Amino acid sequence: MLRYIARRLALGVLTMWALSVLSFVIIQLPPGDFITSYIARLSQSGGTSAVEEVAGLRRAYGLDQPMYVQYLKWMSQILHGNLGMSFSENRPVADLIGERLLLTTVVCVAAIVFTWAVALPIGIYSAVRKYSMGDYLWTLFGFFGLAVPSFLLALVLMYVGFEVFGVSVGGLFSPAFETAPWSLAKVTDLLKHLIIPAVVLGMAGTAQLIRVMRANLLDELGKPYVVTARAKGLSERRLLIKYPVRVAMNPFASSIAFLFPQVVSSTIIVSIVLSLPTVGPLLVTSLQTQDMFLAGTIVLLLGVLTIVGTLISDLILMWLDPRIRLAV
Amino acid sequence: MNQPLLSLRGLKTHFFGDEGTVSAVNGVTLDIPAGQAVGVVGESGCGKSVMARSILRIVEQPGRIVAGEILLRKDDAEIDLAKLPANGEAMRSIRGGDISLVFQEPMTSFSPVHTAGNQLIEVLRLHRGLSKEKAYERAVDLLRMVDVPSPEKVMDSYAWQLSGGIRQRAMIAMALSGEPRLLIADEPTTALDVTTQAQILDLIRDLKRDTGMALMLITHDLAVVAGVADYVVVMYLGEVVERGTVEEIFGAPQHPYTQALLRSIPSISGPPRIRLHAIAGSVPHPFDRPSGCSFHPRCPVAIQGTCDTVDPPLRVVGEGHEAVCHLVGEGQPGSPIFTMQDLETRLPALAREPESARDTMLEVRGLGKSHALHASPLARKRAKVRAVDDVNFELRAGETLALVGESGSGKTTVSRCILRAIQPDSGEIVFRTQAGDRLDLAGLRTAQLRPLRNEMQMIFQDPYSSLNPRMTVFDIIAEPLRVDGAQGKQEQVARVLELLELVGLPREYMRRYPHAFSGGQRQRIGIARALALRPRLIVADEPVSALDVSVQAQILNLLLELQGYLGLTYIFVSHDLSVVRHVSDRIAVMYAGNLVELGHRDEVMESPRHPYTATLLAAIPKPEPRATTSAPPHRGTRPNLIDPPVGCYFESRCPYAVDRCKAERPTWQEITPGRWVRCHRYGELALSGIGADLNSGIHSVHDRSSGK
Amino acid sequence: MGSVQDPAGTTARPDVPPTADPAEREEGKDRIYVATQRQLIWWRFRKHKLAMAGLVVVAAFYLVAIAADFLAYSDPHDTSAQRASMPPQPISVLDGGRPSLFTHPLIGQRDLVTFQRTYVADESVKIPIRLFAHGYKYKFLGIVPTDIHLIGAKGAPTENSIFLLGTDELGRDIFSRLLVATRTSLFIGLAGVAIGIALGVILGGISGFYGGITDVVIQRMIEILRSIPTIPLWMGVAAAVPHTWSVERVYFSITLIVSVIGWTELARVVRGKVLQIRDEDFVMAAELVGSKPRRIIFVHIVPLFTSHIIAATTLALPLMIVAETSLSFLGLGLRAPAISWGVMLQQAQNIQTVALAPWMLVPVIPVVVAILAFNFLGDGLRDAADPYS
Repeated sequence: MLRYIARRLALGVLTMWALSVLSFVIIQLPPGDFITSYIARLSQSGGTSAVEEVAGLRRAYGLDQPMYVQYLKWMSQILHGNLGMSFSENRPVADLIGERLLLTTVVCVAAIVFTWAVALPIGIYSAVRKYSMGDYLWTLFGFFGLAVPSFLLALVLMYVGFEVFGVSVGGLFSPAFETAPWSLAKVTDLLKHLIIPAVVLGMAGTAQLIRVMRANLLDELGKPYVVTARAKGLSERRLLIKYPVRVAMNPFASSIAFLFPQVVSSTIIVSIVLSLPTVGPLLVTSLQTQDMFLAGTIVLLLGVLTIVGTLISDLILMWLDPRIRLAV
Repeated sequence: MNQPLLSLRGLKTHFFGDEGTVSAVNGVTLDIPAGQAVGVVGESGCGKSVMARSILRIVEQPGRIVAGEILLRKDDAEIDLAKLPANGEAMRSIRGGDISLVFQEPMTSFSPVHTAGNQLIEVLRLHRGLSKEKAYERAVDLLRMVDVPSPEKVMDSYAWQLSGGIRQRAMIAMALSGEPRLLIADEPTTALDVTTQAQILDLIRDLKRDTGMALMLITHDLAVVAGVADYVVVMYLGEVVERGTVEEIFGAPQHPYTQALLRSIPSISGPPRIRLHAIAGSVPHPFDRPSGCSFHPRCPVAIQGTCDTVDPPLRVVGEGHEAVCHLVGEGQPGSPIFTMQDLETRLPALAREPESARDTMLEVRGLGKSHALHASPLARKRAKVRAVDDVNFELRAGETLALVGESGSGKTTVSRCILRAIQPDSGEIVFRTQAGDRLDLAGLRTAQLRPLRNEMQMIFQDPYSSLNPRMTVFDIIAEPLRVDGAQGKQEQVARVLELLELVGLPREYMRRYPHAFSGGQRQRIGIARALALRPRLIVADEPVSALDVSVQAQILNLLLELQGYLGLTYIFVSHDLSVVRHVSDRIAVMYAGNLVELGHRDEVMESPRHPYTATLLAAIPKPEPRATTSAPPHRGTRPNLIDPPVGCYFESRCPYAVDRCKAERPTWQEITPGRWVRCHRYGELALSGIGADLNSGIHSVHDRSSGK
Repeated sequence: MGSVQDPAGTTARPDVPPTADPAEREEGKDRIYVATQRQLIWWRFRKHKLAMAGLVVVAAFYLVAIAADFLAYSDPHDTSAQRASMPPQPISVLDGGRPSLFTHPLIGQRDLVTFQRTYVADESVKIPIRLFAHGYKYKFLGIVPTDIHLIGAKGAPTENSIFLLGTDELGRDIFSRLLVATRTSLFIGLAGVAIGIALGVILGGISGFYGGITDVVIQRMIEILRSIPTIPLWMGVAAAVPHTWSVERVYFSITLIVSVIGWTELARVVRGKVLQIRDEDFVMAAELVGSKPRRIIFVHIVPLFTSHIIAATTLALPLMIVAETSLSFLGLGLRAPAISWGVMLQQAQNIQTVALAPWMLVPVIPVVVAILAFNFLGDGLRDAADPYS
């Protein structure tokens, strides 16, 4: 068991490292270093007095040194909690990202919860009532869920909300709470606004998960232990929940591992369409304005988010499956 | 048979698939008397399992009972189970309560994520209404009753943590927990090793005697039925073709199918190496159910114009003995259409060159091979299993050497090392080529091995995995020729046709793909491929264990014929001692990666010198009514080959083990010319084999003058 | 060589199927017996109604894409403020009971209160439409220069006359743009998918065939790539592509980026298949007759999963389409003057635009239909790929 955890942790660290390299590459990719674009911006706005500041920055990030030194310096800054400065906003990245990252997490978790809550019962239904009318309907729904990219769904929802109901469905807060400090009322407001993003983001995953659950359950339903349980005289419902559903839960749990990166990915675009105050719009503007420092950091942090999600799914899996728990 | 516990009357269960209706059970009538054991016999695809599931009303979609009655006597009334709602309360209380079921595969019959105890307690609470604590106690009692060692530990274990034998015992305990009046055991020992099988059969027999419950034993293995059943029902293509007492079925079988089945088993007491009387063809798919009598296309005595058009009548041969056949006369018991004597005179033993004329072809010395466990290859210390350890033997040209042992004994590994399909870790494999050179195969590189490929070939166990589904029969058989590159296309075609004829397949099959063939036919194609390059040595790895009894006989006949005809040398790997006795000249017994005994067939089987050989021999089920298998007492477990014991590997299971066996590993020694054994006590023990009193068991004393 | 003696004479040729069966039935079976794997797969695939429908739709999409310029009638790049945000206008096919193709001119007015441009059809004037009319110049199949289009207006510039799906804010014809966009969006995926498949098959194959440490490294690599959120990464890389690059170059680098991350699923499938096939006895049989690794790989292993590769390709294409659409939608993918579904949808980002000109959402339909069709097709192929399962 400990070995399993250690293995997953090691893999997490490895992924984190790979991600940091990728993020660093993204920061480095545009011609010149990020200070160059900062200077360009400064000179555009007419400020010329910052030459010394620029030199200081160059030293701090070792821009005059080889690439790997730059990478190490950047990493050590980040590990010390210094996420650097956003050159377009002229504010520390940490300030910019802080609350947005929290809301990103909230939106993602809400989407996953929605996915699970919907996919589990439908998956079971579809497998047990294989080839029934309901099964076909859900299968069709599944195909649509898969086929419609989440941002298009959001776009259409926005249009329908606007045209039919005359309401703007975007945002995570009512105007009254937007800048208000956190309170119970604000949380309630947030929860209300979470429904639409959760549905939009969760749709594709739900469709996939229904298929996964259905296929797994169909596999399990044919296994001898189910026949054994039936031969024991258990009622169908009890037998279903105790055995095949329980066993099919394993791949279900491990599905977080692929759902989470997907959902995090989709948040970016969906947030723009639904104007959600997550890191998504920030990432897009930072990329458009070539504020690579900010962009790289966001990519890195989003990666960390998914890695943590994957680790959690591994732990759930371990808790669920004695074969993993008891293996040496 | 007054008032049977359960009667089936014209039961029909059909499956309604996309491609048509499969009548899996097509009008079965049989009785199970209270407290008696009924064996149901037939080859695979004869509807035995579907019948069992129909009784419990757990046939899966798209299957349905379409006609017939399933009458169960309960509380002095008769209930027709076929009329009850399949998942209604009444049916559920019968399932697991009155009738319970044990399956073939104990591994998959348990949920992998629930403990054995959890699943046992569940039944006790459901059917006996016990409290949690009481149910736990009762479950432990039940496990004790089926001879599970340390039952408390097993209660907390998952099925995949238990050995096959213990799993099946736990499964039986679970089936018993509702105190059923009828236990249906569907191939309960097929997945088990022969020694475990013997123990489980003994257990079932004892339980029947002690609890007074009735038993329905479904199996393809006539020998298993003989020892356990009081009555036997023979099924073919979803129909009962004959039923009667075990004595009648084995003593005076009436239906040609029953007779043919009985004759196709290699006998453990009859003369070895005779031609077996195989049944032509194989069980057809139920889509292609023949008209008239279903068996007529395979029946050696079918009457043209009658058997192929008219449904055969049910003939009552004697009290409770019925057969469904045109050829069986009403009320004329005891005149079988063929007798065993008939056969033996008509099938002479095959002629071969004398043993003395055989030269040594292969010498294996100190062969060793370890498998890495699937730990990460990055791990510094990798766990290894000693699959084969210090194996020594020689093989003579023209003989058949059988490698015998239970699963995991290393016999397959040895055979693959010889062919260099895998690379041994240590030892020598000295092969004498056709040209007379002596080569150590163990040291050769792949490229150096290539010229030797026309000297030795392999026949595989699984006829489905051994043929590439994308190639035609011609491409498959011609592949060796093509790789060899010595022949042009014309010659290849000629050779393939020749080979097809040799293995008994029509030449039109050349264009077909493997999916067109049955298991037996596929095995013939595999044999043809192995023969393509005219090898001298053939390694056959369990070549008949995936086949039905009747087809098994066909393939064994073919192998023996080919040997006589082409002068082949066989290494025959098998777990089935009756088959081994039938085909081999010498037998090598393996246990836990070691050779433990080697000698001439009759010597090894009649007077074994190693306790393990004796254990194996004692466990062979005999196709004789009410024969007991004198199963060895089950004690100990197999050694852990990741961390092998210091002493004798068999010590943990050996009834004769002494202190020395634990401390010191016995050496491989030649005790008389050609007779080898690995045991400290071979000289002191008097072990009995199959020639001796069959029922006396391994503890009996048997005089032997030869040896030390 | 004669046949083996059969002393009993009763079991002359076992396994020869009974000849009592009707001849025609035998023939039908014979067809199956000599059927190749490909035929079996096709027979199975044909039974899948949804998959067949998917196949038809996908084929139709590609036909349209190939003939995009011919089917389009207006120059997709021709802008004009005079006809901005025009609503769709149908073509009349009957003129007083007689078949005739014509349309009415739309007269633009500016609402003096809202300052919105509105359009009213002038029913009194008919603009006839002719088939195989001359229009803007293009190269058919990228080779043959021509200006023939399926339809065109007679007597007036087509650009100012026909508006099947309306126009965008810059007055460009949405129908014509959509056709050209279809070509871009369907073909942009192909290069990327090809690269992804090459990577997936090679890396997955190596991983499965050689095993050991190579396998471990590739497997970990896949696990890492799979746990990375792809869109932010694509965005990062796409944004870093210099603005000075030509549309084609940007085009290509985007597919490259997408494929570099998209090979993992196929690699897993291929690895699993290779591992499974390697364990089959017929591979060992081939080794034992002295086949060299190359023969084993290309004769025994690869042909057994080509159908899986085809299925995987079909399932990978829609992902590519989504990727392109998403990136272009965000303004990080293709940019004008390139036309793709994503580029067209970019204009629909603004809810105000959408509310006033909902026909701007039209590209959503081909995106969804194409993805659905590919999924149906791929699913059917995957199911049919194992004729024995």
